[in-house]
Amino acid sequence: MTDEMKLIIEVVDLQKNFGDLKVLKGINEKIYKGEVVSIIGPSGGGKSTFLRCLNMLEIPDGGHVYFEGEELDANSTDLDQHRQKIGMVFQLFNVFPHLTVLDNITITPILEKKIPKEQAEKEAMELLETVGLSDKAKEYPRKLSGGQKQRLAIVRAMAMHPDVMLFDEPTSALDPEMVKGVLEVIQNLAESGMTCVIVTHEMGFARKISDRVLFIDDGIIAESGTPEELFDHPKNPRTQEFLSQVL
Amino acid sequence: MFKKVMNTMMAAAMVLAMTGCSGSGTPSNTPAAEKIVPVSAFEYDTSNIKKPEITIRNPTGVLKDILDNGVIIVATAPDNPPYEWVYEDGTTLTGSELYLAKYIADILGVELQIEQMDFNAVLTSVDTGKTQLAMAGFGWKKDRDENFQLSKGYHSSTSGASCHSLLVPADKVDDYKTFADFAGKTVAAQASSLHQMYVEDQLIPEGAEMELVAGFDQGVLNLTSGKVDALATSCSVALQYADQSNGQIAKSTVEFDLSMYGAYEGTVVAAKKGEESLIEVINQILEFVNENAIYDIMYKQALDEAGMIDVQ
Amino acid sequence: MGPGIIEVFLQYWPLFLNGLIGTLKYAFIAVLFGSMLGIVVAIINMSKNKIVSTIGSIYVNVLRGTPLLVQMYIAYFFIPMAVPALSFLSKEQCVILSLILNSSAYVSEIFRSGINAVDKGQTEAARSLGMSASHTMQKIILPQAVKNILPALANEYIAMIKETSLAGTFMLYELMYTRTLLANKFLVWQPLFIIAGIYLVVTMVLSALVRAMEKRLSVSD
Repeated sequence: MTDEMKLIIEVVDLQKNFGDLKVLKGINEKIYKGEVVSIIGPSGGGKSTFLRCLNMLEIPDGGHVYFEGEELDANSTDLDQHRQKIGMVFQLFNVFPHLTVLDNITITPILEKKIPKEQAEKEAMELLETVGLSDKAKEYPRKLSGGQKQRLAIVRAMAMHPDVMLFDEPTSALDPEMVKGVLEVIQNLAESGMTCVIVTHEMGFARKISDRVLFIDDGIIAESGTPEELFDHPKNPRTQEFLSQVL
Repeated sequence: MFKKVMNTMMAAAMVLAMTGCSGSGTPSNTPAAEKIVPVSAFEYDTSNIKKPEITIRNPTGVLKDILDNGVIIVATAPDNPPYEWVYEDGTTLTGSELYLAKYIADILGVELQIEQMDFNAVLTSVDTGKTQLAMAGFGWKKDRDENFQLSKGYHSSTSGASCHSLLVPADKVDDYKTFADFAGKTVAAQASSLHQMYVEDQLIPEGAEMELVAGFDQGVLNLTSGKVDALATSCSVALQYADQSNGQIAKSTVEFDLSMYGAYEGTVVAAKKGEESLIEVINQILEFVNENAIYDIMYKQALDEAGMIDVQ
Repeated sequence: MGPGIIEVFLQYWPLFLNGLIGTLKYAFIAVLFGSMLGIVVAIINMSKNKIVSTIGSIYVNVLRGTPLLVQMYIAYFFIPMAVPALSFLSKEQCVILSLILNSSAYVSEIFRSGINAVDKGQTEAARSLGMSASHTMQKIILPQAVKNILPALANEYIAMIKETSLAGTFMLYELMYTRTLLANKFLVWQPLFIIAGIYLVVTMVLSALVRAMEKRLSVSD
């Protein structure tokens, strides 16, 4: 462990509008290698928008996003390269229905990183093992349950060997009995040292695995701190109000 | 409103009744009898037909093009037997007027090319220069003469070819003996046809009403379904449909008076306005045709080939 | 009056058969080449460049917003005049060309809506994996769009079968033209019912096939 913590993502005065509505009103934040950062907050507060700015799925109207020291620019030809190192998992899974489970995972490494098919498939199978889906490798996603699809989505992102994983409410669309399975996968990932940024409503989970928790409300980071600080001793009245409603 | 509903239902009932009607009575042009395959206009042999000596002075306009290219392009609407029609094989263009076209082409020493299109497009096509001569059973009309270069009329020496009359319901033939009997009646005619002019000039002044139809067959349907009282057409066509109808419709004894049209009696051919050079030569040919009853030859052959009854 | 519908059909069935073949042929040519052109038009319409996409949308609006018969007349009379380079085209080819252009406008909209109908999340997932824009379109979007596009294309073919009936006005030998041929035999109403019947049977059969195709394609959902 070096003294200096590596800065993976830096956000400076991030702003985003949808029409006249100011959704992000100037966010500043730093995320370091190995950190597990959870983001909680009320609906419409800007948490998903913030997350999606981190890989330019939403294009900011003001401010800057830096990834590993370089500014992310939506018009830049380097953006695809940067995105390969940022993995994203969506609330609605977004697995590719017309490709087999295996091909879902291997298609991007083969196309963009020019990894030979055999090698890509070998790695993909190993990844599928870790989430218990190796027997589904040749199936099409329509045969999978929601929880299985999300696990597929996670290893699909992992196949690109990213430096950070972003999770946008990964369990919000799952039936309750499947939530645990997916959370376990994310937990393993976090414990293995992957830098994770997770937008979630699963407070218990956030508390368990996070190094830090951000409370985003009304377009700004209203409060941030360790899980103990934020959940047990929230300082901001808005944080208190939110927590009292969800816990 | 009620009347409309009743008429529609009657028409539908009539149609349905006819559906079952299978060969009740044998029309004289039953194709099963004898199938005459008409001669294509392009193969019509004019070598045994007298031809005039024509003088071509200083050809200009499309006449010059025709002579230079060795081809004359004629526009026609081949849905009008026996004058111009296409045989059931879908490709044989034939008819008395098209035979005349070949005759003209042979006199000019050029090849004949025929462009077929619907009736309304024929005149437009000479206007836009897509074709050079329009031959589709046109009669002389004032507005037509103002907008196009019309030739003199050609006609057959037998009155059969220049006899025009009406189709009426067979059980009403006796109701119509003079033009005045059409007062208050609705008479159909194909739009832009000679017969529209005849109805306008001779029946409307007597109090008749005219209904224009786009296609002649529409007129027949209107007549048989009772939507109109009469349909104006040439005598030979009238006889043909009357015969086909198994006694439902008949040719009226009333015939249009053509003497009021004088020198413009007969069928004219049309070119783009200003093509005097071409029409002047055409007129020389047509004068010869009229004086020597040339068109009779073509008309008779075409009538036989179309399986139609001669008016006389 | 005259022979009945069945009699006329039995007697002249080769005419109707030839007409039907002509109809199917013209419709196929129109949609085949119309599709090739339609893809190009769709790409033009999806361009981010405002000028380019405006040209595309004018093209589509004119061809979809005016009656096909008018387009045919204009093509027939004015293409050789307006575009001297095309004066070698025969009348038949002019009319077919207008069918192709007309089809391309409808097909381009089919492609556009087929592509847009693919869930946005698919593009987001592919791009966030770092897949390039062109790979995303080729490998992720288009294969899924095909499911939407194929049935719509087939329906366009069925619609075009009916539209080719206008070509008979220009004496092209398709099904409607048999009406002219038989009018020359003074058979005025029987052919109408036979022709309508043939169109009906053909479109019903094809529609059933399209439904079967849709079923097969949706299996993967």
